Amino acid sequence: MSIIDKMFNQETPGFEKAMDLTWRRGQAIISNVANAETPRYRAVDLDFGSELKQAFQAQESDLKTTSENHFDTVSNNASHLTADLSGATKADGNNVDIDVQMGKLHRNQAQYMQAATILRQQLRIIMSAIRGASV
Amino acid sequence: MDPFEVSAAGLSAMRMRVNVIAANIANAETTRTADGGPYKRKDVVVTAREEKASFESALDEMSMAKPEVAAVVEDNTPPRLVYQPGHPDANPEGFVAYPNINVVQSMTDLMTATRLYQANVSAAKALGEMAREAQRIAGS
Repeated sequence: MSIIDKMFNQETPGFEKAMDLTWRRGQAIISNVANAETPRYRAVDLDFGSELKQAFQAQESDLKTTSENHFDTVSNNASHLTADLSGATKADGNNVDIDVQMGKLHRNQAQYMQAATILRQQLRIIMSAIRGASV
Repeated sequence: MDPFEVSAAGLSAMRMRVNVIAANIANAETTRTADGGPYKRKDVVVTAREEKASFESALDEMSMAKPEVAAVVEDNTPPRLVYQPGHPDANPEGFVAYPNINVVQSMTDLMTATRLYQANVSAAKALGEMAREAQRIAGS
């Protein structure tokens, strides 16, 4: 459970985790773009689906915490980078396809923005409950 | 590792490449240098310095990397010989040694380097917008 879930005793279904993962994926993409012409560099990526699934499974297990109010450490673990095999390997051993990376960059950014927008709306709903609907 | 640092390293590597290509094009006809002989084409060697984002990922096989200009090397292929007996740098047979620079190839390399520079800027900008979006959550 995330801090927001703990504070308001409700489930914000993984939007924080989604933001965290898309941020890390953005880092992987930035590394690929920066090394588009570096000999022997291998493109990296983050398996978004399996990482998110893992985060949810970590949430479900009760083994890690002894109390409902404890923060678990499992879901905050650093995610692991995987090989990105979307591009063909060039003669210098580099397999970055710059066009694929730029596409990924913008899709990843859009996903992050969506998660952030939904999270912001949820917080706004909570805020209106605190302040009252008259605002 | 700070992703903006990675992007900045990519930018400086590409700028270095553009500078070297510009020097090559400018000296495409230089027949006399301080070292003697014609100008030699220069090339940038870029290497990736891998940095692990955290202790956990230090155990991973894959990691992010920061591009670095390792060296600027000279192309030692033989010069282009042009028959110009009247030229002050002509050898006894009347041939002048010109740098082995293909201007057309240099121009395409220049365009590639420029585009990659722009790609790095876009990538850094996209991540910057994402960071700003996260700040907006706190502001709402």
